[in-house]
Amino acid sequence: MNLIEWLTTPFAYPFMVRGMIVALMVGVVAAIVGTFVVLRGMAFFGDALAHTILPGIAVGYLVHGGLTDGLFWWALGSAVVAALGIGAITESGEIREDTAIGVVFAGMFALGIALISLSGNYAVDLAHILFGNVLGVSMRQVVMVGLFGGGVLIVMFAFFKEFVLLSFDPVLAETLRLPTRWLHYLLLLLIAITVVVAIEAVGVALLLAMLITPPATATLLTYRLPRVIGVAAAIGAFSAVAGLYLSFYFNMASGAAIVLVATACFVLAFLLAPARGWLARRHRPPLLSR
Amino acid sequence: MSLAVQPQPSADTQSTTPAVEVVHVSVHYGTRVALEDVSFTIAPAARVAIVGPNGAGKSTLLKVIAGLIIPAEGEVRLFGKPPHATRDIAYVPQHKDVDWRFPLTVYDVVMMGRTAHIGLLRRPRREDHEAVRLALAEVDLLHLADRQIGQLSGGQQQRMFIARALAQEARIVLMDEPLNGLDVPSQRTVFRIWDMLRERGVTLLVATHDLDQANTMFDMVMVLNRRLLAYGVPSLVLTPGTLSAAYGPHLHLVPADDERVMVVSDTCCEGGEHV
Repeated sequence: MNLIEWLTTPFAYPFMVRGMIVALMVGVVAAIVGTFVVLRGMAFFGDALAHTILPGIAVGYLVHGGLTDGLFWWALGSAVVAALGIGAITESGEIREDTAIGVVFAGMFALGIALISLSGNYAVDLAHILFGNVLGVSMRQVVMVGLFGGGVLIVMFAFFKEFVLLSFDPVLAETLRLPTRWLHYLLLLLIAITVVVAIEAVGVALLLAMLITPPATATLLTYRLPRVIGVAAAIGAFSAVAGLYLSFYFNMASGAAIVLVATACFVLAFLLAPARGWLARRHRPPLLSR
Repeated sequence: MSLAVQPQPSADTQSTTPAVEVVHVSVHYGTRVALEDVSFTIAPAARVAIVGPNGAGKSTLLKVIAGLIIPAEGEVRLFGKPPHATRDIAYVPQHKDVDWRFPLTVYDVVMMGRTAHIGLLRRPRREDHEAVRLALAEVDLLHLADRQIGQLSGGQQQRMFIARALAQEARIVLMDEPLNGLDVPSQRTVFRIWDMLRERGVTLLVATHDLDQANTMFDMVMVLNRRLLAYGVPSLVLTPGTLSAAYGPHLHLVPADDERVMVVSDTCCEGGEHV
C-alpha cells in the first residue's frame, strides 16, 4: 500500500469523513478559544466546565431516551448555567475562584452520574460521553459543530483586542471604562459553547487537552499573539487528523489518539523549541556571562 | 497684517479646575477601615508623592482615584468629573501584577492604551499607529518595539507603561511603588521621563515608601496612614512630628547638619495592623 492509498483509504467510509470534518473543526476552534484559557490561567475552569456538562446530557438522555442529537442543547444549557454560576459565586467575593469551580464541578458531575445511573444500562453511553465518539457523529451533528464553532470564532475575532486587553491587564480595561464585566461573561460563554462542541470529538475526560495543549505548545514556539493563535490552530487541526488516522489503522480510541498526538507535539516543543525549549535553555550561557 | 492673539478665557477657567479632587473619602474592607475621611486637591501638572507605612492605604487611595474602588463615603472628581465618566487616568501596574510571559510585544502593550480611541469592533487606524510610535519615541523605546515584554529590564518596563499612558492621552498618571527594584541609572531615566510628563501637563501621583525620594523628587508630599496626616511641599510636610505620627516607633530619625531631618530607616510593620 503506497502513501496516497494509505492517506485516502479512510475517506472511503462516510463515518470517517464526518469524523474528520468534526475533529478538524473542533481542533481549530478549541485551540483558538483555548489560547485565552491558557493566557488567563483558566485551565481548571475549562476542565471543570467540561465535567459540568454531564447533568445536562443526563437529563437529555432521560428525556429523549438515549444518545440523540437533542443532547447538544441540554449540554449547552448545562455548561452555560455552570459558567455563569461559577462567575457569580466568584464575583460575590466570599469564596476563592478555584474553590468555587471545584464545588460546582464536583457537584454537577456527581449529579450527572447519579442521573445516568438511574437509566439502568448506561455503561456504553457513559463511555461515549466521557471519551467521545467522533466516528459516530451524524450529519446533523457535523452541521451543529460547524455553526456553533464558526459563531464562536466570529465573536472571538470581533472582540479580539478587548479580550486580549482584559486578559493581560484588567485594570487598564477598567480605567478605559470598557464593559469589563460583560466582556468577561461573554468569554466564559464562548468557552462554554466551545466545550460543548468539543465534547463530540474527545469527550468530557479528555476535553481539557484540546483546549490547552495546542496553545501551550504554541506559546513555546512564538511570542507574538497572532502567531500563537495561528500555530495553536494548526497544531489542533494536525492532532485531530493525525489522531483519526491512528485510530483508523491501529484501532485506537479516537479521542485518546487525538490527545496523544497533541501531547507529543507539546513534548517535542518543550524539548526542542528554538529559544525556550529544554535543549536551548541548557545550552544558553548563564545569565551573568551574557 | 497681524492680529493680536486674544488669551483664551477657557484656558483660565481650566487651570482653576483641580486635576484630582478627593472629598471626605472613606473606604472599608469588611470591618477594617482602609481610608478615613481623606480630602485633598491636586493641581494639574503637579507631581505628588504618597508616603506612609505598609497598610496605610496608599494603594487603596490610588485605586479609589482610578475608579477601581467605589468609596463607602465621599467622592472623587477628576477635572470635575467622577472617575467612571473619564478616561483621563492611567494606572501603571506594579511589576508583580504583570504576567511577563504573556505573548505580547512592547508595541502591542502600548497599543492597548489606544483601545478606547479605536472603539469596539474596530482595528487600529493610522493615527493610532502614529500615536504609539510617538509615545515609544518619547520614552526612547522605539528600538525595542518588537521585543517580547519579558525581555525588558525593569526601567524599560516602567517606560513602556508610561508610553502606554501617553498613547492613551491620559492627563493623570498613577504609579504604585514604580522605583522598587530599579538600579540608580534606571531610576534617573524614569525621573527624566517624569519631567517630560510635567512639561506635557500630566499630573503624576506616586505611592512610594522611599522618603528620601519623596523629599527630593516631588512638588508635594502626602503623608497617609488611613487618615491624611499632612499634605504640602516636602520641606513642610516631612517633619519629625508628622513622620512619627505616621510610622510610630518604627522610624528612626537622625538630625542632619542643615537641621533638616535625614531618614535612616523606615522599615515597618507587616501589614500595618498595629499602628
